[in-house]
Amino acid sequence: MSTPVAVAIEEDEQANAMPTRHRGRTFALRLLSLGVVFGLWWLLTALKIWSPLILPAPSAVWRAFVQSVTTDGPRRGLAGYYLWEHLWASLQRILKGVGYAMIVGPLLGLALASFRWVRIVVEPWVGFLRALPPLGYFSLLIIWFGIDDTSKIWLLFLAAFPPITIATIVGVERVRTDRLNGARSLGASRLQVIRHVTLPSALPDVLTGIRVAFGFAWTTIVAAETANGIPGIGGLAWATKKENRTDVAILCVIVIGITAVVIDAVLQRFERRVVPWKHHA
Amino acid sequence: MSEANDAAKVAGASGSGHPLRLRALSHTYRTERGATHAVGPIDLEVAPGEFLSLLGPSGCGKTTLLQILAGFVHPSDGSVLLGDQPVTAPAADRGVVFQQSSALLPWRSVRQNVELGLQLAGANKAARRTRADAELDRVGLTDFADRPVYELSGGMQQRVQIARVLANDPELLLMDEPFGALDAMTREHLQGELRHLWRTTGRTMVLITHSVEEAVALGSRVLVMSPRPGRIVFDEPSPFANSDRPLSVMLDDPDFHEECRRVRAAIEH
Repeated sequence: MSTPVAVAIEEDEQANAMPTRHRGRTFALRLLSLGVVFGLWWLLTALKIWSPLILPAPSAVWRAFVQSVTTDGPRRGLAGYYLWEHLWASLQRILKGVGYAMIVGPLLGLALASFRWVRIVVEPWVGFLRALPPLGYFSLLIIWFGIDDTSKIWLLFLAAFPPITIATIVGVERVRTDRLNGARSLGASRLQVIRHVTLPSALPDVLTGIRVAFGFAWTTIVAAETANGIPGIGGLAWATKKENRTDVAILCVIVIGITAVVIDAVLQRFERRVVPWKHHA
Repeated sequence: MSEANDAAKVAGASGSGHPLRLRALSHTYRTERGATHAVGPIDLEVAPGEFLSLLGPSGCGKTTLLQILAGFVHPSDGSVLLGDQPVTAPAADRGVVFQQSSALLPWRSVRQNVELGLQLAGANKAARRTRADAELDRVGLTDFADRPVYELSGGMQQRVQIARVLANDPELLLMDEPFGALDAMTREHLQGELRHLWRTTGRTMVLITHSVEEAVALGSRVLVMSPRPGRIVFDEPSPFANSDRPLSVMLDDPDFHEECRRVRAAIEH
């Protein structure tokens, strides 16, 4: 059980076990660590150890941020788009890529878990795909699907569906035998067992897989936007290297990071809403 | 024997019940490491409305036997007949109460859990609800009908399991240590309720238990299985199933004591 999905499932179970009285202190410590990093950053730039080209000051990054949301004469935001336009362009690609993965992943996972021969034939390919770094096959996708959004969405989809598929398999295999037998002895047909027992029982794991998939897709976005990625937050980050805009690069890193954390928090909240019984399964 | 059967009759055993017959039943588990003869041969005839208590040392194949009766496991030899129908797969005429309440569906409310069997059979909403509410009333859970099952205590969850099985109106109730995971107080309470259910519904019941006292107090007939391969080595009617005394009071009865001693001897023999 060392796949990222299994780890995510386990971490999740541990996080829930954390007593509430520790949460306040945890939050305070995290705030403190954020403050320390910011302080160090400021100190390093104030001491002028390196050129601002290597490490710009927090104030320079702030100015880049202001630029990114304003217009000044011929300049409109950064690289012709406002920051939120970059971000929204990336999010749309993610939503499409992961969206397709959310349809294919659970269906494939269910098929793999239900039919032995499907598993024997298909599972190695899913494992192979999961092991590949997305950049490794990105040029192929560009050759096949062109340089526009189609190839990017394919890339994100291919990055996102294996974790969902694997989580679905884990979920289906974890369904208690008693629960399945119970439904059968109440008169459930094979199809009714899948619909009324297997699928809902696996739902918490599927949702965890979707969270992992969003995370993985988001880490792939910069790679996906290296080719014709403007507008796009990853494209913007990639473009900075031509003009040595370290300030913009750091701005992008911060925005990408915060967005990832927010997406995960939203998904966790959604999960608690949909499967409040998760830890009672 | 007669006393127990009378009780079933007095209770108004639905005349539709069928006898349960086990013929030269035997089961061997085959794995890569070899074969394990788990159960049998067993020949047994159970009249409608009987309450069978099944005891035996750990690993004697009690659970295997119950799973064969439920249809979860196909016996390697012999057959099980309910009436004239051979038992080959799980079906709604044989309800199972499991030891663990994880057999329930945690995303459904208590009532929805009880409605499951009727829903699977295609009953309409109103009929489902009426029936489920009647069964919830029978097990005393009316006030908890809309709660999620995981909010209930262990004892209440076992009552939900019993109610969802009863809602299906099965001929046979199979219970695998249904009270095994409960504390002593709850356990005793549910034992009383189960005895009452047996008398009022007239259903044929099979109870697997580790407790000799529970077996003797509840069963109209007590069966003891030998160590693996499990065969029936003790099969006697028990008169105590008709008693209204709670188990704790019965423990003071010398006759009850003597019966338990004999059963225990059969297990350890």
